[in-house]
Amino acid sequence: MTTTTPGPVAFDLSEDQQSIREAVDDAMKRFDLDHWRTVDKTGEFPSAFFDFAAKQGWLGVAMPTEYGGSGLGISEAAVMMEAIARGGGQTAASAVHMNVFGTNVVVKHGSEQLKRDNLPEVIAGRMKVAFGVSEPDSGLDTTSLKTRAVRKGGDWVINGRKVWISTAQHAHKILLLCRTSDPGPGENKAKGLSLFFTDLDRSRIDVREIEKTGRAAVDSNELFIDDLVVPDSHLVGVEGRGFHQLLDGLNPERVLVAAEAVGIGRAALRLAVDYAKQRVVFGRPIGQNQGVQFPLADVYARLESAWLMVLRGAALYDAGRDCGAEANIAKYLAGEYGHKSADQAMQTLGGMGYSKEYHVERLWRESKLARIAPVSPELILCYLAERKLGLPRSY
Amino acid sequence: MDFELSEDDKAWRASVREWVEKNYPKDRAREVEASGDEFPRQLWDDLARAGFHGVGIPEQYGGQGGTIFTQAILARELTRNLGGLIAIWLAPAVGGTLTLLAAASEEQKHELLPRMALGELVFAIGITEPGGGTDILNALRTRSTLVDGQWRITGQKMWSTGAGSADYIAVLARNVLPDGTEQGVNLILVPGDSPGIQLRSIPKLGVRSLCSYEVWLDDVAVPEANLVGPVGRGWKGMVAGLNSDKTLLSACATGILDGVLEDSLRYLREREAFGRTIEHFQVLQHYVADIASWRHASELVSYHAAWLMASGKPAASEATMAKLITTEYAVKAADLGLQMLGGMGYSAETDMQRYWRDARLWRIAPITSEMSRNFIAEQLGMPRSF
Repeated sequence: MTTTTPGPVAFDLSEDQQSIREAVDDAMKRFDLDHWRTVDKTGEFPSAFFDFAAKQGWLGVAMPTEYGGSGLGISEAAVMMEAIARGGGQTAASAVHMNVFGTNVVVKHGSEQLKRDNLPEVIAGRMKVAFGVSEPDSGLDTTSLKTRAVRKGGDWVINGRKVWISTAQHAHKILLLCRTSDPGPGENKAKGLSLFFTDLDRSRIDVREIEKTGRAAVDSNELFIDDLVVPDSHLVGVEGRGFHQLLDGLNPERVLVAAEAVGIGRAALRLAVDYAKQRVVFGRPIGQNQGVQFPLADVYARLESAWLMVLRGAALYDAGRDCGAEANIAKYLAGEYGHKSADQAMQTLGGMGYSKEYHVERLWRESKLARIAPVSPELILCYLAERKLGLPRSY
Repeated sequence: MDFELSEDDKAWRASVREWVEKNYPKDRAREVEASGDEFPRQLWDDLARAGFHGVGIPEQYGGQGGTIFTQAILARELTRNLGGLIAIWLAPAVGGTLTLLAAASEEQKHELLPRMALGELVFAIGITEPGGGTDILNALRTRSTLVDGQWRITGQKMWSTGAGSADYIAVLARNVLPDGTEQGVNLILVPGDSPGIQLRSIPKLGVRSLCSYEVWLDDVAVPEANLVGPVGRGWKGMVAGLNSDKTLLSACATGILDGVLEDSLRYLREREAFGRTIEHFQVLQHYVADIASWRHASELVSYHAAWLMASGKPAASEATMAKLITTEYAVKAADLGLQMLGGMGYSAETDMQRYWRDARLWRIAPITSEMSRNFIAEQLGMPRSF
């Protein structure tokens, strides 16, 4: 007979993390799936939830205390985002996602002035932030972007286009990645890119919403930037080092997107399991069929594995260690399995899964997003093959 | 064994493709799907003018003639652009044309089929109930009783596509004798405007502008003559309809594969990344190779099931297998297609998301993949597992 010792085991959530999960789970009862179905139908930005999250201090979970944040890490943010997504799906998560991590680059690399001016506002929810990286001709091939910032007097003048910019309909600020100088012959294309954290000035930036398959309430947009004047003080960190600095945004983003995908997967799995228990066909609950229960058990196992990778990626980031591979693996596994879970839930619910009334339909549309953005699974496999396995570059 | 289509069938396929390219290119189909309509009447009328509602109806009943094989060619070519909107043609073809041909009296055929062929009558199918679609015989609660020369029908139906605009809903109901005993099931054509019918449209993932309904029948009175087939033996017409449905659906799924393949190829040839068009990337080539292989397999099993049925041979297993194989492939292909188009695939401005949403239904309806497998396993002599 084995004796069990009380006390934490590796991979247990910390006390902070546990209380965050409990608090969010409890709060999401007020913003349940029915609430989010209505939000999805109206397509209006979920301000009530955003304001609630701000009031609870959720937006600043991973921000330094001196600017009003909680001073916790991406690990805690991941626990929080998983719970938000599990309670309300991608729409709920995306409503706050940018404010939670979008200014992390500013925290790490921005000037004191930039931090003091903006972080308290972002944390309090008075300022919304958009992330301006992707361009029409350079989605995954980021460093080939065309948007340019040119010095003019003491300012910068920016021209170009951005695409798939979330929440730009509502954002006050935008983090823009622009080319400020061309790399020399043989130099890495990442050189000469710079980051600006600046006003989303609608007199200079035309914001056009893109209609899309899921997450209608959290807008995605194409941006046309025409002679946007940006003061030099809005440059983040070092000129020409924008791409490297951006990794402090991209890696947390991947970890959080992965956490959200796990949350959506778990939400869908719970709906599927509940339905499989109560739906009686041929004289017994359909969940008694191996053809129904095995795929659900399989999804459960996969989501658990993805979640461990999320925690690992977040822990590495918080410890200041390289987490590129782990953040990518987490995003890859969670994106694939989150959608697989939603798909299996749809299959389990049958016609009811296809109807909009049982929520699975929305989760299915939304869960595909994490398989496309912010980086495709294909490109993650390229990355792992090259960086972790030492295989030659294939593209 | 000859796998070649006849010259007639080739010409037929070419003419349907020409029609759909001219009248319903993908951009237009996408607009129709996204419109707030409950029933795209213009599409129905255009299909009528083209004579497509009469395909599979023998000339003696005012149709264009042809077999289920001819219908399958039509269904595939239309679906390539229309996607799931094909249900506007398919549901009446199954619930009207094929059911009537299998089970109706000569008188009924002469009365109804010519009008069906002209597009004057819209048929919807009222089989599935809230208690179940796959377990229909157990789930069936709707009752019909003959009282003073009229059927009195009470019950509830689910997922009746087009019921809101249907002239007739083909309703399956228990045959209840006046003394309360039950004797088999009846298939009855219920006029869509009958007093006592209530409808509620079910919001759903795909084919948004062609609504599916929950239908309540409260003591609806229908003339005795609207019964299809013998009293208590409505099963025959329904089963004939359902096997045809699986076969035609396999053709539709092949049409989805056609659309996904050509849209994927076009995008890969146009889109540049890392200094060249993305068609150069091996994994994307492999995705496309898979989709092309799936389409090829789908075409073969779909043609085979249609050919068996057109030849009057038994095809229950083959129709089920064709439905299972082609719909699973269509969904996988649309998913990969969306993956290749990335953000553009997710945007409402391309057709991939429409194929992806629409095809997904067919792994669920009219029979789930899981129940298809159960059926196939039983056909192999294995014990019933459910």
